[in-house]
Parts: sequence; structure tokens; C-alpha cells
Amino acid sequence: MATSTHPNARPPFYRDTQVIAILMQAFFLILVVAAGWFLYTNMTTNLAAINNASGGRLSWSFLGQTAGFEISEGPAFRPEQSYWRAYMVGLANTLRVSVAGVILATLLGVSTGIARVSNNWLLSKIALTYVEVIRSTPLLVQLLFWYFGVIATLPAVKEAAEWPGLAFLSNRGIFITWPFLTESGAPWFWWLVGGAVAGAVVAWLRRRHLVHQGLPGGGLILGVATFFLVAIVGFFVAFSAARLPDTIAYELKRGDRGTLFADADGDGKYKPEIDRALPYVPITLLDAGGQPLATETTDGDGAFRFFEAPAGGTSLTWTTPPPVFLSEPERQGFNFRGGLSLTPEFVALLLGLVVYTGAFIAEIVRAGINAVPKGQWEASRAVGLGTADTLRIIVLPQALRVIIPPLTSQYLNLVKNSSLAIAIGYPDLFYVGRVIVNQSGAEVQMILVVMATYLSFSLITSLFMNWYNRRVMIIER
Amino acid sequence: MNRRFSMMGAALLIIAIIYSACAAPAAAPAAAPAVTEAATSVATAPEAAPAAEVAAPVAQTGSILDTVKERGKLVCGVNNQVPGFGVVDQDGNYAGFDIDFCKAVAAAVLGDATAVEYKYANSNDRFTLVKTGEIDVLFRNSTWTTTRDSAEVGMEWMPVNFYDGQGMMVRKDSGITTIEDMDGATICVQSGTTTELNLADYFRTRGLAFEPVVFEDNDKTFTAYDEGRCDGYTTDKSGLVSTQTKMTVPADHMILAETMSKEPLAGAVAQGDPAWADAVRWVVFGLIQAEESGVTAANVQEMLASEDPTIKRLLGVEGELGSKLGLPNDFMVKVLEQVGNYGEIWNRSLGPDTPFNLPRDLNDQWTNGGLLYSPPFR
Repeated sequence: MATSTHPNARPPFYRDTQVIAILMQAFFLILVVAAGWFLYTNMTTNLAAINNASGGRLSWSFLGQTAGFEISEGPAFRPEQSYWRAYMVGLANTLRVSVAGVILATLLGVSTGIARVSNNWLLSKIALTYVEVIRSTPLLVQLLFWYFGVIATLPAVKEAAEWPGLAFLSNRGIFITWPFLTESGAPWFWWLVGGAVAGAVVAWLRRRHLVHQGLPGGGLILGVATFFLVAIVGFFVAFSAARLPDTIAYELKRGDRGTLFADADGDGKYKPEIDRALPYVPITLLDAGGQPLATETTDGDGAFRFFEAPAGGTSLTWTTPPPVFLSEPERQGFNFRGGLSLTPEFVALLLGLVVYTGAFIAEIVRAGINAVPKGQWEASRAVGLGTADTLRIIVLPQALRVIIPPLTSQYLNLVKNSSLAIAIGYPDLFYVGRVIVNQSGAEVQMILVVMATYLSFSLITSLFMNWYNRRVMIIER
Repeated sequence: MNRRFSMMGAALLIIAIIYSACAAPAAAPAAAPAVTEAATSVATAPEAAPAAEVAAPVAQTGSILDTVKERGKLVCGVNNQVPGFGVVDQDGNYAGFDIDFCKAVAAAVLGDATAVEYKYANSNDRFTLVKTGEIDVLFRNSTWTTTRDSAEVGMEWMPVNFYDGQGMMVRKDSGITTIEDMDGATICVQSGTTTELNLADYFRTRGLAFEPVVFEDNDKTFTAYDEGRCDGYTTDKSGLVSTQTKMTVPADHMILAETMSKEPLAGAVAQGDPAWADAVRWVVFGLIQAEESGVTAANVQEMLASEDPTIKRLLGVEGELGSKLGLPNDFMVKVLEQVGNYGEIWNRSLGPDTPFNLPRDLNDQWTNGGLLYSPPFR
């Protein structure tokens, strides 16, 4: 019995809980690594058997091949471009629907959650019905309903419903008059970014100054004023310095259509990888004698088309565009051209995702509000605050602490559910990935890429939400 | 509290076990007939194996021909949304031009045209399913192209069983008479198909613009066109004819005269299995040769006594051609009795008695000016 009573004496290693813990961790780690290694070698051996012509290795060279297919919406894409570029277009589409969906679903969910706990009987019952019905139906069924059920009832293109000068509604989509940044507006965009940064810094400094002085108030007004000042200054600077690139060139086909672009290699042919297309430039079609035949503006992807122009167009001239161009949709040929177009696929997907996720968010918000002790409500009533003010100042800030973690899950669900776009023809990244798999046969590579993309979206969202959660969570002793 | 949790956990476990047991037996009864005739030691394995084999795609080291014989059933990848080629009725029975080819292969290998499990393969999945071994053979109106033949997509293509071309369907009241009128139109097309690529090529070379609306399966594609989402709907002309019958008002639509591309439709198996590829290939050739030689389902028994050496070799009366392919020597007799020759398959699904009444044109025997030409059976 030689155990000393020294406080730092440790038991022998086989009874030392710390050592045992470390050993178990190491053992478990070896187990996990071995399992991962087994799965990996299993996959590579099977792949080698299937792909024995390419040596059984995963080759990534297919990403540079020509895609050959069109994508119906998203950033400008031509079939001559590569699979990688097609995937990027799909990625942009997913981001577009996810960001819009998250914002709208939050708004809808918070309002419905508040409606659920409201004293107004009709309002709370309507919210209840909405939540229960939407939560009980599969999302795919809802998406198909929105798409096929809704576009079937919209008017055909020829009889499109019109808001004069503002928008058109038809079963080909919603077309809205919209301002776009042009070539000369691009530098202005950087001024705006700078203005936003400057405004944020000014607001922060002002707030810090006020806090030091012990005065109430915030820096918001000053920050917004700074932003507008910088924006206006930037507008005039950009406008006066506006110039089209020197290497500007055009391709004219069939006398009435083609592309206007900045020719990087000077060969007069538009190559999407190296030449840059010029959008929203006013152009005039001239005939052989130099007489103007028609005027138009190039589209968002630099392409132009003169509808109903007389034949014999041989050359083009252009003028420098203003920084912002107000694009109005008009019916030409089979479709509407111009303006901001929201296709039925996009609208149906957005509606389906927002309505579905909104129902879940409503329940989370309701749980959060119910988690705030009743004493808070009574105290705020005693102080004289009405329901709306109570909610805004007292209850919701406390409810946020309960709401944020499950809300993160719902946001991630929305992003992942956007992959159902494939069912209604919206070209999101999963859809484009599937087409690439079918056309090129590279299944494993594309699945890895798609999984990695969704994983990074989710990790970034989680990261941000966890940071926000740490800021609002209850700090107990 | 603890006791309640553990009882709930036990109940969930029991439910899970019962459910998984109930999900398996769909495969077990099919193995029963094979068990009764196979040897004992082999019998115990297929009973447990089919449930796993149909579900687990493993790279086969032996030939698929042996796997199919052992399994006693052919897994055939088909379409279920194209009337005339591959469609399923409300009782779950598959019928169509491509389906009959599946039946022919099953009759040749297993002696029974009904020993087929049909698996729907959508346009994006179909080749992956073949490559991983989940389906043995694909008869799903798929076009033979260089990329699909190469190691990249990894298919081995059977003889063309339908020479088709891509066409465009529009509404009669749209005022469109040729594809040149469709500049800027919206066109519904199915994703992952040669149709999608050909459409882009055809329009691009003519300097025409179009807006695609793309879906994964045929049903959604033509429904969107029918509802007015698109001005045009494009797929193989045979698909257009058969889908027209599914429109709400078929008479409102018409198929434009232009053929936008060559679409040779053929069956496909996985690359790297020459025994299986040869077996399926010669079943298809056998159907074509039978029509050329005039052997039908009705007269095959009489033809066994024929003096024509080609027919004698085709039906296995003379020579060992079947055995050389790994099939029973009289495989064509079984095929013709149960399915018929190429002409009978055509008439059953696409002939004058059907709503389609497609003209034979290129799909006729070489003796009649078409492209069907079987290498000799010798």
C-alpha cells in the first residue's frame, strides 16, 4: 500500500479515467478511419470494374467538354459553353430561388406564427388550417399542384393580362418592367458597394460616439444619408466617364439578329469563353447605303433581334448607354422580350417552397412566443404597451433565442428541397447535374460535386445562423 | 419513466422488423419455381439471394447471361409512358414494341416470355441502371450514338430495331407550317435525351432562337405543351405519334414534315460482357431473319420440317448456333412461338389495327427496300 496522499498522485493508467478516455477515443478513431477506408476502396474497386476502359480512375476532364444543351433560364448560357459553366448556371438558379425563398418564407412564417397566437379567433383559425393542411401534404405534390394547376388557369400569351406599362401575366411567365445596370452602369455598381460600406462605417462610428456620450439614438439616419450621397456622386462620375470598350464588335446573321460583344482576340467571332457580351446597348441597323432601318436595344446576354425590320440590314452602329436602362416587356413573335421575366417554373417553385417552409416556420415562431413567460406579457400591459409593441419590443426578442436553432434547420431544408425543381423543369443545380450525368456518363463525379455544393451551402448557412444565435442567446451564470 | 421508454423502444423495434420482413417477399415467390427444379445446394442460395440480388447492384464477374439463367428472371429496363412502345395499363401489365423485345430475350434465354421484371428507366437514369447491373438489358426507345457507345457512357448497342427521326409537333391553329416559322418559340423537350441536343443544334445551325422548357419524363413534357406552356413539342416522330393519342384533343395538333435528325432506336446492354451482348444481339437478328424467311408464330411448328437450310439453322433443327451463343439450341422456336417475328411484333403494337398505323418505310426488310438486314445464320 504505497499510495501517497499527495494530491497530485494519479492512479495506475489502467484505472485512470483520463487515460482510458483517451485510449477509447483513439480506438474509436481507428475504427472510423478503417470503415471509411473500406468504403473508399470498395467504391474504387467497383468503379474500376465498371470503367475498366478509363483505368478505373475518376477523371474530371469531362467538365471542359461542350454542353450541347440549352438551359431555359438563369445567367446567359449558350450550348457551345462547357459543362462546368452549365453547372454554374444551375448553381446561380438554386441560389436565386433559395435566397428569395428564405426571405419570403421567413416573412410568411413569422406573420402566420403571430397570427396563430393572436386573440382574433378568425385569424388564428385561418392560420391553423393553413399550417395543418400544408404540413400534411408532401412537398412534391404541392409543387406539381402549383405548377400544373396554376399555369393551366393563366391566360395564353396572346391574351396575356396586362398592367399597362408595368407587367404582363400569362402562362409563359410574369414579365415586369425593370431597371437594369448597363455597361456604363457597371462602375456605378462599385460606387454603390463602396457607399454601402461607407454608410455602415459611418453608422457604426456615430452609434459608438453616442454611446460614449451616453446619448440615445442610433447611426441609421446618418449611415443611410452617407450611402445616398456616395450613390449620387458615383452616378454622375460613372455617367460622365462612361465608355464602351474599344474592341467592340458585332456578329450579324440573317440581316436582323446577332450579338454585340467586346472582342478579346479580335477575330470578329463571338466566343463565349473569352469575349464579353455587351447588354442593353442602344443600336441602330443600317442598310447598305448607310440609312438607318430600325433601332433596338441589346438583351441581357448581348444578343439582339430586329423584329419586323425591313430586309437588307448590313451593318450596325451603337451609342453609349445610360447607366440604368428601364426595360419594358413587349410581345414580339411567340414570347415577350425585355423586362424582368419570372418563368412559371420559378414562380411555382418559389411559391411551393415558401408556402411549405412558411408553415413549419410558423410553428417554430409560435413555440418561441409561447416560451416567453406569461409574466412578460402582463408586465408590459401594466406598463401600458399594446399588443403590437409588446411583441416587437419585449416578446419577440426573447422568443428569438428559442426560434433561431430550429429556424436554421428549416432554412437548410428549403435549400435542399429546392432540388425538387427537377420535377417541374426549373434548371437548378441538381437538374443540370443530372443532365450532365446522362450526357457524359460521369455519375460518381457529378454526385460528389452536387453533394459538395449542397454541403457548402448548408455549412455557410449554419455558420451564419450559429453566429447570430450566439449573439442573441441567453447567457446564464 | 425508464420502463415506459424501453417498452416503447421495444415496440418500435418489433414494428421495424415486421415491416422489413413484409417488404422482402415480393422476390421470394418468384424464386420458388426455380427452387423446385434446381439441385438442392443451388436451391438454398437463390431463395435468399433474389431479394438481395435485385436490390444490390454489384459488378458482375461472370456474364449476365449466367446471372439471368440462375435468377430465372430477366430484368428489363423500359419506358412506361409511350403508347405503342412501352406503356403499362391499370392492371400493371406492360405492352408495346420495346416490351415485346424484352419478352423475346426472356423466351430465348429462359424459355418463358413472361419471366420478365419490367423496371421503368427515366431518361436521366437509364444508362446508369444498366452500367451498375440493376437492369440486364434496356429496351427503352434509346438512340445509338457515339458517346453512348464509348467508354464514357459505357453501353454496348444491339441492332437497331426502329429507325426513327426527330420531329416537331405544333398546334394546328398556331399558323406554323415549317420549323423555320418557329424562330423564338418555346419548345417542350425531355431532359437528358439526344432530342434536347439535336434541338439546340438544329436551331443554332439555322440561326433560329428558341426557349426550352425541359422536364425529366415524357408525361410532364407533353402535359406542359398541351396546357399551352410551349408552342412546340419535340421528340422522335414515333413518340410524337403515340403521344398525340394522349393529348386532350388529339385532332388539334399536327406533326411538321421535317425530320430533324437520325434517331436509330436500339436495345443496349453494359459494355464488357461479350457473351451477353452476343446472345441478345442474335435474338434481335433472329426476329428479323424470321420475318425475312417467312416464319411466324402460327407456322413455326410446320417450319421445323422445312427443307430450307437457313430456316433449319435458325430454328436449331440443324447446327449448333444456339449453343455457341450460350442459349438453348432451339431458342428461336421458343421466341417465335411466344412473341412472333419482327413483323408480328410491329403489327401488334404499331400496325394497321392500332391507333398509330405507322408505315414501315425504313423499318422494312431489305428485300422490300427498308434497312432491316440480318447477317446470315450459319
